[in-house]
Amino acid sequence: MFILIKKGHVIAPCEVYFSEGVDPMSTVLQDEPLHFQLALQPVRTNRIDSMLNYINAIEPGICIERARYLTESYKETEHLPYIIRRARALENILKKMSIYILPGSLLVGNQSSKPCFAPLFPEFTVDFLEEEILQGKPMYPYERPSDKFNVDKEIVPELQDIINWWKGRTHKERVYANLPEEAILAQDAVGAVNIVNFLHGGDGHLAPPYKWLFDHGVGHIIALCRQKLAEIDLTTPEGLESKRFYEAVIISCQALIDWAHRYAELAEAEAARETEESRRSELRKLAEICRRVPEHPARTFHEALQFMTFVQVAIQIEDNAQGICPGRFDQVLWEHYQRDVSRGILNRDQALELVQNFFVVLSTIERIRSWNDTDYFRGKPIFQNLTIGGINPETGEDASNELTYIVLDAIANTRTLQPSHYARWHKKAPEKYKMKVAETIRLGTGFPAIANDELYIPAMMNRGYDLKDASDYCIVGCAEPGVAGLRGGRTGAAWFCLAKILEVTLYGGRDPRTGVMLHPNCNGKDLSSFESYDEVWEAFVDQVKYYIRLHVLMDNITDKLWEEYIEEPLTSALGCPTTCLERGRSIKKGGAKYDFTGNETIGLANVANSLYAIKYVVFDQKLITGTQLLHALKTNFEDMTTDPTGPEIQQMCLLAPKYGNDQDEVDFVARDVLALVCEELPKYKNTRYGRGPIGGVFQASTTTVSSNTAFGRMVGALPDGRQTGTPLSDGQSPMRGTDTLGPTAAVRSVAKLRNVLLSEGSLYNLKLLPQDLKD
Amino acid sequence: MAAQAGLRRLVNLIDYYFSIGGMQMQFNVVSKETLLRAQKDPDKYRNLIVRVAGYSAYFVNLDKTVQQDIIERTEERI
Repeated sequence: MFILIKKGHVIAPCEVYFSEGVDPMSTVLQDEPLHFQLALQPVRTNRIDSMLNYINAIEPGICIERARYLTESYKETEHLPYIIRRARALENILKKMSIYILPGSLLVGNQSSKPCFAPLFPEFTVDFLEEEILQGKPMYPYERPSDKFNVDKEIVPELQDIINWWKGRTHKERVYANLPEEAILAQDAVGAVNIVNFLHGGDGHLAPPYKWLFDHGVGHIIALCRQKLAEIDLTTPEGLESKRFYEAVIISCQALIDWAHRYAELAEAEAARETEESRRSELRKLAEICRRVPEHPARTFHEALQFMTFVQVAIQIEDNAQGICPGRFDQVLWEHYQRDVSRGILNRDQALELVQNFFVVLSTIERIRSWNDTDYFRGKPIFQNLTIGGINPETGEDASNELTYIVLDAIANTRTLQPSHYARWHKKAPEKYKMKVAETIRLGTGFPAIANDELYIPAMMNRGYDLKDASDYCIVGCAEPGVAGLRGGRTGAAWFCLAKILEVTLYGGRDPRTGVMLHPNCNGKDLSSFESYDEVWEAFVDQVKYYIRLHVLMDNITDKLWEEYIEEPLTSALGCPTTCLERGRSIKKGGAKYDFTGNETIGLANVANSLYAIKYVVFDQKLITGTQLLHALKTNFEDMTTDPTGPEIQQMCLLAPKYGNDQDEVDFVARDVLALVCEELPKYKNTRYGRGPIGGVFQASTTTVSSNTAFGRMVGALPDGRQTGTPLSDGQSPMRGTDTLGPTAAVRSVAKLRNVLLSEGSLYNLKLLPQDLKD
Repeated sequence: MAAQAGLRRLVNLIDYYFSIGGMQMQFNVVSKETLLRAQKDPDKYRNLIVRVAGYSAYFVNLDKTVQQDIIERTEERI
């Protein structure tokens, strides 16, 4: 029985509960006794503390080095195949970029010349670099009200040259040249579908198979490619294509090894200058590790973590990808941890410090987006997700171990935004684990989020994963499942603003903000002329299908041009080595075992509530006519000259039942709307379909990032009572403030959605109060 | 365990949601009052991390509209 979830009870504010060993006098903010994160000081070693202080003192900036060395290389390789050009450019970057060792760090790997400096990726787009960094339109990156970046004036002339060279050669220009006019309008005018994120950088959203990499080493990948090169038939088109791929992988992997050796030299040089004996020996050990990995298999926990750090950072240097993920961290590092502990060369505290050190290094990674795209990604998320817990794919039993708890301790005490964290949850998860996860959540950092094995696994199997692979899933973005080393494709894919699609439906197919009419309603009606709720639904379904078609063609065009002009040899070799190397092709050409293109559906609660409000107010209760409601929407519920007045109509709309209160009539509308998207998308194939991977179709998710505020600005007043320009609902959560009957009712509503269809991930945000978790 | 009744209620809430078909959950554990104080005095709250949607961020570094969205989210009582 599940009880204990009380409705509306009030606990008087009182002293915070301090866990054992924490000194209540150490509160950071005396007037915040009820906020755990602020009241409980993180416990960390001086090393971690000083590294964090060092990084936090640096204001985010822009680093030109990657753009410089990339461009230098591209100018010299115009005669070469694209995948080789890409490999040569990465080689040049890794050879020449500035490298550093954070003071006191036991791990190395940097993405740009300074911590928290964003590298530039001019091969994707230069328009915003020119407008924002050079011309200050609409503002310079250092003038932004949030998500700022400093710009060193000295880089400006060189950046201008780089931009000039890339004009006419960028991914974004190629995509725009290939998009049909209606798709461009759907994105830039109507704001119903949006792929801008993927015009700025790579796809990412994958977890390299770290266990496999630790066991084999990158040197093994090079050896495999050499062997394949000796075997392929160069008289066939396939053979010629594979030759390019293998050659590009060899160049990229060797560049990665050489990059690691540069760190070995740097550590040796720093050791020679170091006066303190203990640090000198740490630097010498670090040098040895960098000579060892990633070229050779990792023998120790420390070597494995350094291997992982190099791979994480290098992939993000290759193509600006988000969501490059450590995967099931407590599983992939378990053998090394256990072995080192039993050999007496590692204890729990040392492992914890190394894990925290790893978090700190991952936190140095930055990404600059255009000001416009920033609106969809506020707060600079990078999405390097780390997953703990879950079942063992071989036995189905709980897989948590001591490292699981080390990660939870590291989350509580490092408090960095990167990596991001997920805890898997299942029926056999031990109480100790669940309570420890709950205690970590209580800190209020949002870490870890929780994923239900009993839904994620069948959702993946429904799209073709086999049981064992699905059981080994990890989260590879906001909420999207992947399997380390086996999933390619593009989980992010287009934003899909359902709320805008409903809005155009109410206006006969016309976007009221811009006047653009892309697809008239199939029944030729609008809110003033619909004669029944069924007619509203019929028109809405048809509009959803129309915009899904645009969503698909926009994603497929992006992918096709990516495959033809960009490529990613390093990501393919490290991300999906077993299949890409066997097939002799990159992920974008069908190299992965599983491949799906995703979706991000925005505004579900607004759409469900609005559809239901129309049914309730106009057709069932007949309180007002559709014409009256449409006028109220057009006037943002502000017209005082009508009877009833705008505000009165808004009240009627707000009083209609809302999703999130366990009321079937409206919850089922939400269920049907989401199922419509979930079932329509997989009817479409992506560009890898039939080229090797299992899947090869589109699939739905309800992840929003901060796009609900960005899209909200473009969506007018809706029949749910929401006013124009205000944020839409997030994920598949009830609209904020409308789930009024307590958490039991709220979760019962959200569980009525057919979540198992969300094979690209489900997102439900819940806000709790610290005082309810104190006892 | 009696001292952890609040955490137990949170575990029960997750167990319950997942037992009836829930797939994913993520949390903020923060009061509106704390967030409003952070808006007023960002320097003092510069380390305050909150959940946005699919990721976490420093509250005071978020755009005002996103801050408002988080402030207005329903405070569920358990």
